[in-house]
Formats: sequence, C-alpha cells, structure tokens
Amino acid sequence: MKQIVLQENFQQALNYLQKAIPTRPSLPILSSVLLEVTKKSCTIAATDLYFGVRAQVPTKVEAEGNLTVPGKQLKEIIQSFPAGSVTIEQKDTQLDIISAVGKASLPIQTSQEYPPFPKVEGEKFVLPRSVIDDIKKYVIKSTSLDPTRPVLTGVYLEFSPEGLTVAGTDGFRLSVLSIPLKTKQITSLIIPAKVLEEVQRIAELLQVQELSFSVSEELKQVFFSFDEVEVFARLIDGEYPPFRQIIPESFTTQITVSTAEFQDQLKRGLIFSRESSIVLLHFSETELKVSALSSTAGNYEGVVGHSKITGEVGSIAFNAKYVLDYLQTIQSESLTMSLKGSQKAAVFKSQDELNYLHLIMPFRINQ
Amino acid sequence: MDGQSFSTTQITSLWKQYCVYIQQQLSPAVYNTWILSNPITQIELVGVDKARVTITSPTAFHSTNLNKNLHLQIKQVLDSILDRSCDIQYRVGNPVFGQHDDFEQPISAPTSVPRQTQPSYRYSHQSSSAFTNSFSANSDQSPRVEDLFSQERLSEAAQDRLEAQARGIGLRSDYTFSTFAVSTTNEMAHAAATAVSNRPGLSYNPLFLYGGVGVGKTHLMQAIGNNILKNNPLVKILYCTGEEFTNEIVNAIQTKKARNFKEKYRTVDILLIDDIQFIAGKNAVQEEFFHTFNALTKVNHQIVLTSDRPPHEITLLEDRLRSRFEAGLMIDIQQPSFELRTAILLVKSKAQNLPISIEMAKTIAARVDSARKIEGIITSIRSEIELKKKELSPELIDEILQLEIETKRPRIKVAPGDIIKTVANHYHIKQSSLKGHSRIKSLVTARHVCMFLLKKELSLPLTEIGRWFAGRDHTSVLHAVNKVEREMNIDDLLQQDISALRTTLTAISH
Repeated sequence: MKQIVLQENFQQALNYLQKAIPTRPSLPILSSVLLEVTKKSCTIAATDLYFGVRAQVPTKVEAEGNLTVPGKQLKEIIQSFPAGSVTIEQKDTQLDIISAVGKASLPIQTSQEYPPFPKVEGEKFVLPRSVIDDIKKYVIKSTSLDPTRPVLTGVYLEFSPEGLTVAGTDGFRLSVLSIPLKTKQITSLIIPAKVLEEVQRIAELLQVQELSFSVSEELKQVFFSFDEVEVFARLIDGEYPPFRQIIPESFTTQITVSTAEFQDQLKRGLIFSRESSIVLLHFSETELKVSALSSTAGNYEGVVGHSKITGEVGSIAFNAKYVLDYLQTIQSESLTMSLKGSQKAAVFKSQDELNYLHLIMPFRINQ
Repeated sequence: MDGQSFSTTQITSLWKQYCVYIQQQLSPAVYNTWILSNPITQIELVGVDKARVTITSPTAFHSTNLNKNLHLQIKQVLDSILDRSCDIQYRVGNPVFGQHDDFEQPISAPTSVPRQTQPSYRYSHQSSSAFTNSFSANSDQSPRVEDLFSQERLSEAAQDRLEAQARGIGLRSDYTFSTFAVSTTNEMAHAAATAVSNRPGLSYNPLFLYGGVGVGKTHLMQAIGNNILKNNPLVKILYCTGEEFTNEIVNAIQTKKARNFKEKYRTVDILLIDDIQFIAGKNAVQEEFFHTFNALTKVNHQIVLTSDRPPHEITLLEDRLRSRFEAGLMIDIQQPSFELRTAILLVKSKAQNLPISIEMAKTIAARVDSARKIEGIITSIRSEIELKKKELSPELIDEILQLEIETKRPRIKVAPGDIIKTVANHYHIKQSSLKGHSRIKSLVTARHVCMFLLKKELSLPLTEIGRWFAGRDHTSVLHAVNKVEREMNIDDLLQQDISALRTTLTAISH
C-alpha cells in the first residue's frame, strides 16, 4: 500500500474517529485503526464494537492495500507533523509515515483480524441539523451516566404524526423537547447520549445542514451517514420510563423570575452548600428568597429581584446544580417555575423556548 | 417451528461444554470478546441429523464478526457436541439477561440488579413494573431526592392527572359509582351505567337516562365518565349540558367557527350530555346534534344522554332524533323510595363525616323528596354543627328541615288555571271532570293533588281553591291538602306524580 495524503486532511479524519478508539479495549486489535486503501479512496475506521466510525481521507493512491496500525501512535504522530503532504507506505510488516520533518514506522497487524463493520439497512430518517444541536443543548445534560441503568444513559426519540419528541432523564430531572416536524415514521428509539453528542460534534465539524440516519431493528443498530463520515452505534434496548405520566399538569404556585438574577443567587447559595448542594427556596406573595446553610461554614440568604409569584406560598428545596444546569441551558431572560407543593416535581419553562420543558425533583425537606 | 427445542438448563449445560472446547482454540482476549459475550440462546433439533442454533450477540459488530471470521470454528465445535450438522443463526439482542449465571457478565450488565429477585427484568422492554422495580433497588444512591419514576410517584402522578383531567372535563370527583346508593328504583340504571363505563361504545349506545329532579341522573352520568377515565386516562371525554351545547352552536354560528365546533364534538371518544331535552324545538341545534350523534355512533363512540322525561314525551323533538334515542337503551330512574332516600342520606352523611343515626335519617327522608335536597340538608346540618357549634339532635334536624323546605323550592309563578290544566293533562282527564263532582277514585286523587298544589305553590286561600272546584267547602280542601301531604311521604307513586307536576309547572312558570 502506498499513498500520499495531506496532513490536515488525515488529522481531520482521525479527529472524527477519536471517540471510537477505545483506550482499554477488550480485544487488543480494537486499539488499532483500520486503513482501507483502494484505487481511488482511503477509508480509516475504528470501533469499540458498540460505537464505530468510518471516515474518508482525500488521497492520491499509488498502491492499494488494507491493514491496521496502533491508533494512538498514528493519531499523535499525524497531529505532530506540520501541514503538507505525508507519504504513507507499507514496508513488509511496517507502515512508514513520512513527512518533511521525519519518518515514523508503525507495526502492522493484518486487517483480517479487525472486526468487520456491519451492514446496516433499515428505515431512513432525515432531520434538520438544528434538531441535533438542540438535543445536545437541551437534552443530553439530563441523561444519566450510571451504567447500571442503561436506558437512562440514552436519549429517547419518538416520531409521531405530531412531530418529534426527545427526552432525556437521569431519574431526578427530565428534559423534554417537542419539535414540530413532519415525519413519515411512527416509531421510537433510544440512542446512547454519548453517541448523539459525538454525532453532533461531527455534524458541526462538517457543517452539514441535514442529518440522515438509518435504523435496523434487527441488528439494533443506528447508522448515521455524512458524505465523508459514517457512524455506527448500538441502540439501547428496553422500555423508556413513562416520562409523560410524571409531568404534572396542575400547579398551586407559579413563579416567574429573571434567569440571570436567579442564577446569581443560586451560585451564592451554592458556596454554602458544597457537600449537599441543597438550596432552599421560600416564596411568599411578594418575593422569592434563596437560602443555603452549611453546618460548618456559615449560611446565605438572598432575594431574587423582579420575581412574580402567583398562588400558594411555601418553600421547596432543590439540588442547586440541577437548577443551575437548567439556567445555563436556556437563552431566555426569564423563566417560569411551576410547583405543586414542596414534594412534587417542579416544571420549568422559559419564555422564548416554548418547545422545551424541564422538570426537577425536589429534595424532601422536613419542616 | 418443527422439531424439538432445548430447555434452558439443557442449553446452559451445552453452552458450558461448547465454551470449554472452543476456549482451547482461541486466545483469552478473543475468547472473552467473541465467545463469552455471545451466548447460545436457542437450540432446536431438526430431523434426525440437523440442528438449528441461535447465538445472540450484544451488537451487530459481534454478530457480523462471528459470522465472517469465527463461523467455521463455532460450527465445528457445535457439530461435534451435538453430533449433528448445525445451522447457526446470529442475532443481536440482550444476552446479558440470559440464563448463563456462571459466566461473568459483559460490560453493559446492570450488575446491581439481583437477577434472582427480578425474573422479569430480562424482558425489561415488555414490563414496566420490572422497570420501576429496578429503580427502587437503586434508590439508596441518593437518599434524599426521590426517584422521578418510583412506583409511588407514578401512581401519585396518575392520581393527580386523573383529578385534573376530570376537573377539566367538568366531572365532579365525588360522583362515582361507589357513592351511588342503589335500590329497586335505580338498579337498572346503575347496572346499565356500569356496563357502559366498562365497555364504552360496545354495550348500550346511546344510553338514555331519564327521570325527575334529583333522582341521580347526573350522578350516574358523571360516574360513567369518572370510571372510564380511571380505566383509561387517555380517553377523550366531553361532558356538557344541553344548554351549553346549544350556546356553543349559537356562538359558533355567530363567529363563523362552525368547523371548530364540529371538530370538537365529533372527535371525542365519549360524549355525555346532561338535560338533552333542552335542545328540543331548536332546529339548527337539533340538526347539528343529529350529525354529531351519527358521526359518533358510526365509529362506536359512546353517547350518554339524560333528560327529565322519556324521548316520546319531549315535545318538539325531531322524529329522527327521537327514534335514535329510542334505539339505544332507555332507562327510567324513578324517584328514590323512602328506603333509598334513607340509604342516600346515610351514604352521603358518612362521606361528610356526620354521625347521623338511622332514626334521624328516616325523619329527614320522610320529609325530603329528592336526593339533591338531601345533599343540601346534609350540608346545612354540617355547617350548623361546625360553624354554630350546635349539637346534632332531632330538634336541630327539625329546625333545618323547616327552613330548607320553605326556602329551597323554586317559586312557581303560574295562574291557578295552569295548575288545573297541567294536572288534568298529567292524569289524562278532562278539566271539567277534575273540577266536577264525580267521586271516581282516580278523579279524586287528581283533584286532591290539584288542590294540594294550588295551596302549596300558589298559597291560595282555602275558600278560593274551593270555588275553583264547583264551590267546594274550605274544609274539604283542607282535608285534601292534608291527605296528600300525609300520603306522599309513604306513597312513592304519588310523590313521583307531584314532583313531575312541579317540574312541569316550573318549566312553564314565568
């Protein structure tokens, strides 16, 4: 195999593969990158068997060939080379990578041992780029990292005649995005949040306008295809929790506050509740008070200005980090928090992002 | 499928054997990745020398690789173990929850879930309760924030939702079947309503309930709504009165939004209309209702209607509507009997935490004719006790009854002639016979009722009433009034007649 590529192109392609090269693989060969060079093209690929990426590298081919080389070394050496042409040539059991500044030789393993990528054929979906951007922005943060609850590490997508509903939850907070979208399909999927995050990153790098993907129910596989990059991922099995059921519909108190002011007060409160992150909100007819208490380090109390409160007065305790996560997500200058007592989930909606609903479970407080 | 399938234990023991064989041929990393996490999940013997084996892999990468690179080795081992030629199928699934307890679980296994206590978790995508169980197992991770999806929270949310929904529809949450007292006068209606609410659209469609004031039509109708909602919170129910229906049409016509109106009524799953008699005589409304009715019954969507009288007695009701109403199940709810009134009283007072004794209940029931008034009386008693701190005693009840009965009845403003005419019509007799001298029993009863109404409703002097009836003496009138008053509390038929007459008189009153 022999080919000449531009360093910047090769580096870019390796960047797409980044998350697919496992650092501690179950099988040694998985830490390698597969190079497949045909007369006209060069494809590089990597997978940890649950997630896989294939990318095209623009190239000038002199001799064909397939092989695998250690991924980490390949990536780092290409990164370190200056821009310009790089010659990649197979010499017996070594792959020489020659730049103007130096030559690296990597050991070759045969491509036979590298697991083949599955052929994914199935229902095709097309979404505008904005959808994946919104999913990244609004939903992914709410998903769980806990591998013992696989379903919650995923993002739930439901296609129906009314549009697309996207949900993410870690069991303590929930994000729901309702996107009015014409789709042919009526189906639902759970895609790992990490995969969508990566797909969003690639889509942004490639500056595509549309995201197209296929889903194979039989292989339980989702396949995203861009012009130069393909992403393979395992769908998550299982039933998504009945999130619609736990969204309350009636409330006893509604509080409208300025996003910035609320954020500032919560951050101040958080200084005094480092261990627990518990921040208490008291709402009277006229004001919303934020307070936090530390057993050793003192306490804080502050009033969120310009808040409008209707309904019953009372108090509620939240994990301030969850609320801050939400406040940092939204763009609107003000938001409405709807409550039903201090024990039930609170619903957050912002003025300008009507498609987005966020829900946070309060702490139980004994008073 | 033909052939004989292996049991779980057989597969497990065979799988162990297979692992031992194949382990010798492969490196540990290859064995762990490609064999251990890809268990055999099904074995089926076909014919005498063939077998079908299914291997389930965690991902498509696994199954593709097995098929391409390891197929021959796997087949060889399986062939020799089973002593048959094996046809191997590779599929992707969730082998994690499979039967192979002895082997270490692949990475994605929820190791914190003890499998022995969660037998159904293996099919987690089919069982939501298994899903929530697995959560409670994890709840100690964050002891102070409750899990959004705990069983308790879900049922709490469902309850809230149900109440909010019922409120949105306009159903009263206390109007359920369990708070409906049943006796002979309404057991048919109760049975039909229960049947309808359990199989909406399929048992009796439409269900037409009719009866006088306060017999429980609305209660039953709302109980149907509440019960349907409880069985399936997603059902679209529309509850309104005939009057609201009329007003909406008028509005829709005025604002040229007839389409919205049609959309609203014709897309519901259950339509409940109270006091449908109100639409009689209004042509555009009847027309619209006719089409709504047809649209809904065509797709087996349940319709429940109530009225104060049967369809054939609703004057000015279009024939095509009448025949449609009569095609469903029509049930007459009679005025509650004395016993039922007592029972209602006890049920309702219990719901309001009033310790009314059966004796007191009987006293009230004897003097109050409709269930609705009973509710009013109970509320008054409660407020007397709670706000004025009075003792619950027969005297208090007497006092309240006096007050209630005098003030609560709507004033009827009609001419004496109207009452005579209405009574004559009701009993199907001529006015002249009613006013005349004949002493046939049926005429006498009608005459007494008529005198009673003239006295009670119009408070005419006894002598004047006597003059309407061929110059009878005022003592005869007094006798008649007292007799009716006495008898109506024990004679249910008489009571029904009187309340029907009162309803009619209220309707023509101005």
